[in-house]
Amino acid sequence: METYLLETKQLTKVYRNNGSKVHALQEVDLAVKPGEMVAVMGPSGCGKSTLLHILGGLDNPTSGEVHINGQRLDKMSEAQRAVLRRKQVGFMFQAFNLIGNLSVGDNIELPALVAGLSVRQARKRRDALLEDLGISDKSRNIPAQLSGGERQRVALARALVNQPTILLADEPTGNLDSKTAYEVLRLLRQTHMQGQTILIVTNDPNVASLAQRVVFMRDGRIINETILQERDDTKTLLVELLNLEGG
Amino acid sequence: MKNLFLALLARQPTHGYELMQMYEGMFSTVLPTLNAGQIYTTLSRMERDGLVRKSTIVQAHRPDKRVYALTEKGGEVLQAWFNEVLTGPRIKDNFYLKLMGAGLSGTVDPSQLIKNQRREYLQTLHNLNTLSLEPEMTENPSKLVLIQGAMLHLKADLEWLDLCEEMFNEGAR
Ligand SMILES: Nc1ncnc2c1ncn2[C@@H]1O[C@H](COP(=O)(O)OP(=O)(O)OP(=O)(O)O)[C@@H](O)[C@H]1O
Ligand SMILES: [Mg+2]
Repeated sequence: METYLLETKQLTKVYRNNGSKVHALQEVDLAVKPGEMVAVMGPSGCGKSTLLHILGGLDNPTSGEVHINGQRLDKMSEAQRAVLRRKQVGFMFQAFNLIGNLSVGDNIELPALVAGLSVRQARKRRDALLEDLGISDKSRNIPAQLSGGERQRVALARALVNQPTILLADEPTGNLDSKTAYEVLRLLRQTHMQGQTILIVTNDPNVASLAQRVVFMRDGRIINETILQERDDTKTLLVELLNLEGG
Repeated sequence: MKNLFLALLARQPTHGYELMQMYEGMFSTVLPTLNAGQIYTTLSRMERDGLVRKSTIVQAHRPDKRVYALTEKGGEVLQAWFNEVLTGPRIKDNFYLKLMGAGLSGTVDPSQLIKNQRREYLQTLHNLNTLSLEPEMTENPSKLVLIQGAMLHLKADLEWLDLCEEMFNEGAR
């Protein structure tokens, strides 16, 4: 069991709204190994964000277990969960969740300071991430002055600043055009290549297909999964696939 | 291939070997590789059809150069290729009939077929996605755009499979 970085057992979430119940998650068993990039894919409303919020310690399950790095998240007090959130989990929200009146640089730096890094260390990591993600020149801007793609990059930098055990990304290219989405995917892949464990939830096949393993979700349940193989002879791939007519 | 050669020659008369190099440089990862024999066969066929003509460029300090040049007819054929609009959508769907057949036969679960097909499409999408993110792509936009086009088609195919699945699920209810 401890070979997994993240594991859920029979994870269930029921929302109760004035009398009516929504079964957002039903007995979900999911496991992610260190260094793996996994995508959970499913249609709108199938429970993806609910799953990610629970894994990130932002919400409580109704029943079931969540293990992160050997710790039982579902058994923790609110205070313990807050610590875990800061130290172990990087979260990219479906709707950025950047702080509107703080500069880009401060948005990235803040979680590091909250997690107890010195100002000097926090600044160092911030600058390295800004550089890595190609947004150094935006450091002093506020989020409202950025494009969607730039905001998404800030969100990624902020999620990575505490060098989390796992990066959780909710629809990381939602609302971005193809070109900007491509940039975000490039950054996610680069982050993964550097050894980062990543769990993405998405409805977008392009995003999901970046992963090594895709888990399909419907109506709060995992219905099956597929492992994607790496192919080393990409040279002939296009010739085979496209069957272009040279005219 | 013939039309691509015409397009290359429309720029300037070119030696057969240079033509091969230009072709290789631009299309080697996209089109099947050609050997010198295939290139010269194509060129001599084009010459026979009056699309290109061999001519000699006299060079001051080097031996004369034998080049292929576009003829007027060659130019017209090329222009006709450009003028011709591609008709019909770019779909070719062999899966639809198979899926309907599965539904009719009662011997196989259509949703299993959908599952297998989804797996296959996702794997191909993964291969293309990986390729599109390779560092060399930033210097090769014409190749990138081709890959991205193929990816958009696959994405549509995958979304369509979701619709098929929903249809069968609703029918089963
Ligand atoms: N706070 C809440 N209270 C009640 N119901 C909720 C709440 N949050 C989500 N739900 C319901 O739970 C289900 C799953 O929602 P969730 O946001 O997890 O879906 P999703 O897969 O992320 O969808 P999308 O792709 O649209 O983001 C939905 O039916 C939703 O209406
Ligand atoms: Mg969501």
